[in-house]
Amino acid sequence: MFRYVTAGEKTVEVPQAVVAEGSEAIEAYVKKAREPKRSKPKTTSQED
Amino acid sequence: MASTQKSLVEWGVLIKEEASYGAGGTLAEATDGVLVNERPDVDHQYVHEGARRGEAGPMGKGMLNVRKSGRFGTVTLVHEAAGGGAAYSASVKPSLHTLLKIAGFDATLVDTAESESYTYTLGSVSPTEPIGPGGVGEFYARQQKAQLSGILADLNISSDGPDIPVWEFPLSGMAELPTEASVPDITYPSVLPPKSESITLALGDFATAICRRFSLSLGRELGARADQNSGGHKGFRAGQINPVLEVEIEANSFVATPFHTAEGIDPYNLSELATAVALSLTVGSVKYNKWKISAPAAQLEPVDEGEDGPSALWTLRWSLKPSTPGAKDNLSILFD
Repeated sequence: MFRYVTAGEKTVEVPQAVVAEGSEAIEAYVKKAREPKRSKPKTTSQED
Repeated sequence: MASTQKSLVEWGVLIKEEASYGAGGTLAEATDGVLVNERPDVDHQYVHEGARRGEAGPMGKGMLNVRKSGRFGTVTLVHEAAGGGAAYSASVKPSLHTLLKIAGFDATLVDTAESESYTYTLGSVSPTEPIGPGGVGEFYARQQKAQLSGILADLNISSDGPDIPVWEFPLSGMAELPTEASVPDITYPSVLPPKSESITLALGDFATAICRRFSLSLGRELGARADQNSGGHKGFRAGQINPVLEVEIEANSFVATPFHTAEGIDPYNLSELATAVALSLTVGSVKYNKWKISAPAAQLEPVDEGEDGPSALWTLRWSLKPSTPGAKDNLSILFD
């Protein structure tokens, strides 16, 4: 297991398949895992 | 044309983690080199050597063997550990990062500014990851290339005097037959390894022992998996570990209970009482190029008494146990 810890950030456990791809893949995975999840845009029903 | 005489002069190792056990992988000379100090000759072996039953055959002259099955290889890598030499990150790692991973350690990278570190702790075994990561490696020596996959490792560290500690990784993996190859242009880390000339050794509360030598053995059991379904060998599986840290120190005057104080140690009482003490051993003092072994609950085996000229010595073998039956914290290795 590869665990990525940064103070003030969410700790990320990186899957082994990503670890095997190398450091750039690890960085990209961690960055994506820490991105705030965007809520789905609200759809408003068509009003007459 | 006569064939060319092969040379022993050059060698090299490339090794990386697999995506899943036995999956293999493509190695890169720029990123996957591990500097080894002795020639990495892979010993090719077989689960079944092809021998026939009975020693001599019906006429006492032997019988033809059948083909061998279940090819695997073993090799011990001899390495001098060095830190990353710069702030640790996903790309700046200790020199033996991959070797520790396939020896069953989990890695934790802390990349908080000015506190960057890698900590290696005993890995988990779960239903989804029953073996842990294996390694894939290419071992160049004798102008040949040996390839192993599904590599698992054990670990032994030793230091006799104020030298560079030696980290030995006995590897076992499924093997290909050797092929003709020259050593590729491998990129190695350039950081020099720290020496054990100013170590910090803490045996419980006693941190000023005169240490002559130390060693650590992980004692990791690796079991081969014979497989009649596909070629005879399915790789290896890691079993239990039995880590032991051995130190040879100059004997000191006894101290009273708890038998490990700032003034000294009483190993006879500690051994008899099976007192669990915290141990730590730090090698190196330069930021990003030092390492520390910590064990929270070490128990002392019977004391070996020794001597060196007029000096009385103790060889203390500490069995590194988990702090609680459900824990896996026998030891950790910190690079910071």
